[in-house]
Order: sequence, then structure tokens, then C-alpha cells
Amino acid sequence: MKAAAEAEALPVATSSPLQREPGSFRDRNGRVHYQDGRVLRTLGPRASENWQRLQETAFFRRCVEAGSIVATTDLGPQPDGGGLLEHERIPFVSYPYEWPFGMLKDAALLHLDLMRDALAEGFVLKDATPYNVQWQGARPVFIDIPSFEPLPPGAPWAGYRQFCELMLYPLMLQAYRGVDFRPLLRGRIDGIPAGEMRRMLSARDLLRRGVLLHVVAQSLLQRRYAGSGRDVRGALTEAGFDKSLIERNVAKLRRLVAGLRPPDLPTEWGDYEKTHSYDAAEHAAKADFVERAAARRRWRLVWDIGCNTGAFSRLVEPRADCVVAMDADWLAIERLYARERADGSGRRILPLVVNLADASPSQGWRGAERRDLAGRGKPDLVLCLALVHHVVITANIPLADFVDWLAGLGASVVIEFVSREDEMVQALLANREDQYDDYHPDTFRSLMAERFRIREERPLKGGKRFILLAEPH
Amino acid sequence: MRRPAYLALVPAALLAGTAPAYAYLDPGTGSMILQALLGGAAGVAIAGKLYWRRFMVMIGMRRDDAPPAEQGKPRADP
Repeated sequence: MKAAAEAEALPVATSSPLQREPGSFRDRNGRVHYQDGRVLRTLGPRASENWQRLQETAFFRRCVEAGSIVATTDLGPQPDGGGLLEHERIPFVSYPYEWPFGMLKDAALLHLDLMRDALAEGFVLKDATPYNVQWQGARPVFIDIPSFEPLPPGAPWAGYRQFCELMLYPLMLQAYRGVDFRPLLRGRIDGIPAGEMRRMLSARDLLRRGVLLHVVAQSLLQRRYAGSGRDVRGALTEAGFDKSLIERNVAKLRRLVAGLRPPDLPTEWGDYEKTHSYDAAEHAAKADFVERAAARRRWRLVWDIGCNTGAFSRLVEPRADCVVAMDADWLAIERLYARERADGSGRRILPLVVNLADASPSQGWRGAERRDLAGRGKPDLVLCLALVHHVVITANIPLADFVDWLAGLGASVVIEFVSREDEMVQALLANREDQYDDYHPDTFRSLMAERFRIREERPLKGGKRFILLAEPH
Repeated sequence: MRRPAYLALVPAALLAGTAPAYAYLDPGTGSMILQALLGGAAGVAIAGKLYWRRFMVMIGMRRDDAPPAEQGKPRADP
């Protein structure tokens, strides 16, 4: 009934049914739908009026032009008094628990910049969640238009607590404690509460920037006033609270966040580009194979799984609309992001911290609010270079299971097999029982041949490795 | 069948003009009070005012206002 009523309200030619975005339900003022690859947003009457005012503001136009707010078209008023918008499509949706530090930090800075600009024109962002930021390559884009609302006179910033729980605390944890924020964000859709954050900090951390006020004082005040039922908002307004206080807080938060840096921990693969086991000629041969495979056609979505610092992602980028570059090593992804961001050319590579053996699940309300990787778009090309030995030996995943999973994506695959004679595999096997009978080039070839059409094979590194181009049946 | 009920929202929205919606989010009582302190000197003055009022109530120099949660309730509520 409800879906029918919503479909009726939408004037878009209904050649295919509307699909409701299952993660779009928290704010009842609007809702996101998909239709034929288009992204549509219904607005309630109040959100629609706010939208009319918002698009008159200078900051909004400026930000849309600069690409920091998603490009949006008004499809006209609706019979229910609401509105209908169409947004530019984000090539691949990602979540903060897949971002390196730099991406969460830039999402937080974008949020604060938008707050500053919006406040100057009487608007505010009513919530403060990093899930409202998505990426066009390495460029952050704010996607939640109804988050902008006129600021009531004398009202505090309703999203401040959420900003701390989902952006500031995770960044502080990584910067001050060297703690990976991703498992925490993945485990809790609402982020890290102040009380818990406080318990994760040491006495010495209390002296670090921002901790006393944003963590300790906030946690104490939250505990003191929990369930008090007092109209604090009204009392604040009456006492003279005004916009300039929010502006000051936002400016100080911006300086605080801009100064946060992850401790530069060396991780196993961080220096891969300098220390990988190929000599220059062999590396060129591998790159040539990948480049020629990519040049066969234009690709809509490429997954580079185990991308390291993204050398091969960059090779295929000119032939692809979007490359999702994934690696479990956050430092490698951190470096890839920093480079893509600095280049300015980085528009199509999305760097994500993903461990394939424990990739992001579907989760949240009904297990559908946040989607697993393939649920956000299947690739048409997968690069899987120097990865299989990690999957089978390090993560103990049977080779046949992995090839099955790969075939299930329905994509063309460029895949490298590293034999037991290779020093990388020998290092992995040095201290563990060799239970990997399936890890053999012939087994690999026959498993691949059963599930794919092998188009090309080339030996690498004097026969210690080989690389295949395989296409789905 | 649903539409008239849906449309009934429109005049209310028009009466309210572009009345800003309060967030669907709970801003947190403690987090709101902290925002006064985070606003610098002017904010500290406001926080002082909040507490001064409570102090005056405590020493009997000022009458406590009815708790707003109850102000919001309809008076005829049985």
C-alpha cells in the first residue's frame, strides 16, 4: 500500500519500479529511491520549503559548483505539497569504516566547512554523520540535502554530539592512541559515546588538544543531565545563546581536526612500491599485461582487490568510469588516498580499507541499512594481483571457495598466481604447517578454466608466477 | 485513500512558514550545555547565567519555572 502511494506521488515515467534505499529512513522529511539507475529523493512539505530557501543561498550554489555538495535537479512540486529531487549518482557507495584516516578527516573538515558557510547564511546542518559524505574518486561530496535547515534563533547545534561520536572521537583515537577506528565504527552504527571514549584514553591523553572539553566535559555533563527532562534548549535560548557561539565552536573544531595526524606506523606492505619482489623488466611485463587487458574495452566498475598503493589501479583508471581500490593495509590505502587527493586528477579511484577475508557485511536495521561490497555494485573487471597466496595461506580460505566467489561476481578477471617457489610464498609458509594441497598452479588453472574462459596467460618472474586474463562464461 | 490525510499536512506546513524542524536526532542535554562553554567567553557568560538562575532558585530568591516537559503537555490532559 505504502509503496504504491509513494509511486503514485512520483511523476517520473515508471518504466521500472521505484526501489527504496533501505538506509534512508531516519529523517522522515525525505527519502531516497532509485529508478533506472537514477537517484531520486522525495521531500515532505517542510523539507521542500527548506529546499526552496536553500537553493537561493550563495553558499549552496557555490558548493554545488565546486562539487562539494551533490549536483541536484528539482523535478518540481508534488501533489502532496512535497518535492522531488534528482541527485547525481555516486559511482560506488562507501562507509566510514572502510575509509583511511585521511578520508574520515576530510569528510569531517568538509562537514565543518559546510557548517561555517551555512551558518553565515542562517542555515545549519541538523545532523553530523560521515555517512552523509560520499566520494567521487578521492573528492568528498556531501549528499544529504535535507540536512540543511534554517537555524532557529538561539538554538544550539543539534548535530554536535553526533559529530563527536562519529567523526571527532574516531579521529582522536587513531591520532592520539594509534587505535584503528574502523572496527569501532563498523561495530556501532551510531559511533563512540563520550563516556566510552573517555575510558579509552589515558591520563596523559587528558592534556591533548580537545580532550578535556570535547571528551571529558561532555561525558560528565551527559552523565549529569541524563534523563533530566529539562528544556535545556529553551533555557539556552533564554540565556542568550546565539549563532556566534556555534560559529566559534565550529572554527575551533576545524583547527583541532586539521591538526590531527595518524602516528606514522610502518606496516608490512606500506613500502611495497619500493620493495616488491619484481625487477624493473618483469614489473614492466606485468604492467603491460594489465594495461592490454584493460584496453580491451571501457569498464564501468573495476575492483582492484589487494591493490596495495594502487599502482595498477592507476594503470586501468583511464579505461574505467570508477576503480574501487581495496587493500587490508590501511597505510597503503592512506598513501594512495593522499596521492590521489594531492594530484587533483584523482576523480575515478576510490581507495578503501577492506580485508576480503572479513569484508564489510550487510548490517544495520534489517541488515540492509549498510550493504556488503557486492550489494553496492558488482564490478565488470576485477584485478587480483599478488593476492591469491594471501587468501589461501594467510587467511586459510580454500582456493576453490575463492575462485567460486570470484566467478560469482560475473566479471572479467586479471589474476596473478604466485607459486611455491616464489620467496613471498616461502615467507608465508616459513612458520606454519603446510596444509595447502590445493595451492598448486595446476589446481588453480583447472579451477579457473571450469568457471571462466581463459583468454590469455603469461609467465612472470622467470616462471615463479603467472598472470591470467579470464572472462566469465 | 491515503492522500487526503497526506494533504492535510500542507496547510500546517504553510502556517508554520519555513519553520525550522528540530532535528530527528537527540542532541543530548549535556552536549547542548557544553556548547555554551565551547563558544568562548560569551558562552561562559551564558553558562554562568544558566547556573546563576538555578542558584537563585536554590536560595529562594527566584521561583522555579514549571518544567518544560509539562509545559508542552495539553492542560486538559487527564
